[in-house]
Amino acid sequence: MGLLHSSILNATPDVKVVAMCEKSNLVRRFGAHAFKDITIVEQVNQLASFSLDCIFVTTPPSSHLPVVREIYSQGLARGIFVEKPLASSFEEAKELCDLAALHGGLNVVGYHKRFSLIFKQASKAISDGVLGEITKFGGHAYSSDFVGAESSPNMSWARGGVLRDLGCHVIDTALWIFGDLQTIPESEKLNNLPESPALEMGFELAIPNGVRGQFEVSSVKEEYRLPQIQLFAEGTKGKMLVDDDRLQLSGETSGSWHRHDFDDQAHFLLGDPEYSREDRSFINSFLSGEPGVPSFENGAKVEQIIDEIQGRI
Amino acid sequence: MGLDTTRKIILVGDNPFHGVSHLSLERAIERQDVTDNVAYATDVVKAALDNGADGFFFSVDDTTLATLKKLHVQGMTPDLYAIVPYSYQYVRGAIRMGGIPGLAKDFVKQVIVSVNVQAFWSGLVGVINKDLGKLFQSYLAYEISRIKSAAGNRSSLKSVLVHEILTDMALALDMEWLFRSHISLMRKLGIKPGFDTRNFPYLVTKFREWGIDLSDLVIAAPFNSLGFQMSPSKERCESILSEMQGTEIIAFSLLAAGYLDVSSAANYANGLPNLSGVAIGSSRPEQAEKTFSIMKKILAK
Repeated sequence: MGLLHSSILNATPDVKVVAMCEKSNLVRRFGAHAFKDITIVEQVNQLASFSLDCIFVTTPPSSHLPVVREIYSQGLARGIFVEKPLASSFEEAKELCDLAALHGGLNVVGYHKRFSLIFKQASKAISDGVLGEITKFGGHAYSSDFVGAESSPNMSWARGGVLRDLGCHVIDTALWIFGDLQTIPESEKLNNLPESPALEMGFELAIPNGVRGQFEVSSVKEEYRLPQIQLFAEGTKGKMLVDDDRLQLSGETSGSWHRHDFDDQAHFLLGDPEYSREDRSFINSFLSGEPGVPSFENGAKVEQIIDEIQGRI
Repeated sequence: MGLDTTRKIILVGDNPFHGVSHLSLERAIERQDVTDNVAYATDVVKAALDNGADGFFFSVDDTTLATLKKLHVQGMTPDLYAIVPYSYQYVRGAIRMGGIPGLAKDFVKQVIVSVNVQAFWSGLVGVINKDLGKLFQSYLAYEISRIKSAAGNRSSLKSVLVHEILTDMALALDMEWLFRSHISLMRKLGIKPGFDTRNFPYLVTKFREWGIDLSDLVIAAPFNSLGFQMSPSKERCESILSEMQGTEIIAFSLLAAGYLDVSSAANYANGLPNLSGVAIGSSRPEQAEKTFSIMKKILAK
């Protein structure tokens, strides 16, 4: 993700990537020859000599807190973007929020699905009351990242496990689209969950009117060559199904929309156009002084739900 | 297979064989029922070649290499436009192996196991001298050896294109050396150097800035009447295309991931000045017969 964001940012007008921080000696040595005009340092505090405006933290989730703590304590930059998930626990996420509140500046967590024009349209449909009162909802996040590697789940745990690594997207998108979500401590399904599942799990969440929704996450779905998240909802006026590529509505308002039906352009296209819009939004917020979205607070809510599902709280 | 230079080149693409659809999730999954089947992929490519396709435009992976082998056994020698690296495989590898260092170690193992002496030696020199150009060339040599091994030494490897993910990252991060080392090796081997990109105007601007001669290169980029995946805009891509002379430019995403019908897509391609050819995927032999017949008819006008 570091290279993806670096590339998009360096191709963004008025933005210049000047330094990278990399722990691997091998990558640092070859990187020094690969990138023109970009200095690669080993320690975060070495970034002090560059007078940076913004820093993108794209390290493993367990290192987000110590890295961001150092950025704030040394005043290395006023804008901080942390790749999703925000942290490796709700406790850490709360500390990140406290640090952001104390030091000010711009703080954003990298949930790029919020920059999908299709999910944005779905969010608008819900907030406009197109479905009426929600009576049923749910979703899933699937990938094939660990197909064939089921017997060695350690790499999945190194990325925070499937719930934190992949499930965080569907939780954040559901929070954004459906509003406040709560876990259900007494849920039978939750009580039956396997201990610390690395690759697959299911859970339930409830929206404020008490309706419960079921969610599944899996990184061993062979048919999902590219990771996909999907949400569905049924209400008193209609139904909705939305994923990365399509929005379908039926009922009082009906129709089907693809990426093609929106102005899905990017100033520089690498991966999905959402990444370019995400980075551009971050830069625009930094330049205008407006708060960025999604903020550390939004990211912390996802961590809270994940920890509650995993029984840590 | 000789090319008819009076019309646009028509290539059959491989996206459906990898279960890719940018139109919908269900469509990508449906495709996987058949797309892992090499025999089926071979039938699709054959149907395309029998109905007007001049060549095969593919990412180098196990499925496409096995398809090449089957075509070779059956005596078919389409023009080959190979894209390397197959980024999906490497991105997934990086996820599982803990990032770039783990991936690099795994790659070295693959080269050693392949007993590709030239690639290994060149790579070793690259590592010792920290010469990234040499290292990249050793990787390219390894991929070319895999293609030749599958398709036969007499295969018609027209171009080796750098995959869009690597091309676009390298463009954005000013990795001029990567482009120069690719061009230099391909010219030495008598293969047209190519680049796959989703940022066509950005690539052309950078190459001009770096003084890289664009003639005699192959550039593959999205072109379709909707502007789907045309970055930064359809208008800008078409405008830059209209300035290009001598570069072999191949349009992909011409059907906008299946959103557009074949006839209107072909008519759009016909109207683009300086477009040399098109690459289109098909997931079924009967679909390939129809698609490539229409393409051949309209692009011959």
